[in-house]
Amino acid sequence: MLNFLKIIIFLLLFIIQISFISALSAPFFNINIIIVGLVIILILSGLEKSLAWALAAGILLDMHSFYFYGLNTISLFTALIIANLALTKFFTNRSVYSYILLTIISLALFDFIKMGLVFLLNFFTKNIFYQEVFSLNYLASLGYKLLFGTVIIFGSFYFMNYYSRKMKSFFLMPKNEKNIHKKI
Amino acid sequence: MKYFNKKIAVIFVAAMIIILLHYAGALAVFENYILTFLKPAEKIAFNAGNKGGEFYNGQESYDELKKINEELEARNQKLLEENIGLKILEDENIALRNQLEFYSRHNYKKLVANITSREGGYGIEQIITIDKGRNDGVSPGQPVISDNGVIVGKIFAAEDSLSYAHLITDKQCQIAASSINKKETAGVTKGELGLTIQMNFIPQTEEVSVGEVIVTSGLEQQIPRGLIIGTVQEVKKEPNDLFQSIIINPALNLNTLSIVSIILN
Repeated sequence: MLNFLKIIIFLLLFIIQISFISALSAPFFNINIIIVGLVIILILSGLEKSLAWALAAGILLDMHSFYFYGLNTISLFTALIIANLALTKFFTNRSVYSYILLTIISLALFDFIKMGLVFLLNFFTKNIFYQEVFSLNYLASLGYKLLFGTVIIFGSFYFMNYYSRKMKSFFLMPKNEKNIHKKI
Repeated sequence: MKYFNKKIAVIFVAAMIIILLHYAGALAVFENYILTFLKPAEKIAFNAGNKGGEFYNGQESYDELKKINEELEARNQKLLEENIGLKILEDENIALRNQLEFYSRHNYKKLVANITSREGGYGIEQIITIDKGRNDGVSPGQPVISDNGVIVGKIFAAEDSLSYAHLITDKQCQIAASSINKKETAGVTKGELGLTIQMNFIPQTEEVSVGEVIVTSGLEQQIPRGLIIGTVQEVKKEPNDLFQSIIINPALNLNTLSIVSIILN
């Protein structure tokens, strides 16, 4: 039942991303809730689960995209793996700052990998279209993506913090050490 | 710490198999089912998003509209004076329209379709996803029009049940066009920053004036003659250049589109 609910929420988020957000006027169409969602799963449930959901999201995105099939899946996987490396190597806590930084890393990586692959493909196939993948417009768009991503993850963090104990800070102190502190 | 375990390896293998099966064509039926299943919800979500965008734009442009209204009032006065002269040209215009086969909706085999998504990739979302594809007779090069016969874009890729079109304001969308003046000035239109359209390769000797209507020239195999593109907003003429160019104002707001038609023949 819980899994069914998760699938429904996932499909809802996907439809919101692919149809609702894409129809919004500039700059709001730069919002990317899929990456933000995957980053939250990565932090809370680990790489395995986030990759599993990334596979589902990537396949659906690829089915809706005019770029070559697999581009979104590959980009999502790579972005999440690098974000996970950053999470395990550089971030020791689950603070709002680590959430924001991981979202920024994932969003930027996803975009760079996706556009980089498109650029390479166009270069090798000598496709005259989409030559300007890294144009000024693209950079402005990326800026908005990072800004909106930061706002959404900031809101999500405090929302989850309010309703869940998963992110509440706790201290790893042995019992006898606590007693020592009390005595002091 | 181990970064890759068995479960992650399984996910990677699954992803590779799915991608390979897609290119082998084994997933086509399955993908079509998913797309058909998602279509109604996507349509509703897209329309809701469009409404949201319209509301935001409406709020933003209130002051702008006030200014435009004042300009339009002044322009209206000028147009009233010009109208007398245009009455004389009316008969000639009717003959010219017949000659150009100017927009006759009954002659085209049209396919009504919904826009389900927009995609860009390099900053400006000027690519629309349409819920009709190869199975419905859609193929690259076909024009996408609005209900009143204004060309809004051109199909550049079609899948079984989906197709993708560049809007006319997209840089990648090039359309053979001509004006409805006596000389039928011809050129090629190209989108400008997702906002306007530029028509290039117009010889310096041609006379184009602001306000003239620009239509498709019919030189492209799949795009019939006479589909309205927009009106001339500005003429760019440099004495040293071989050609002049014009800026065209699209005939309708392309950001609020949700239902379009594709001309199939």
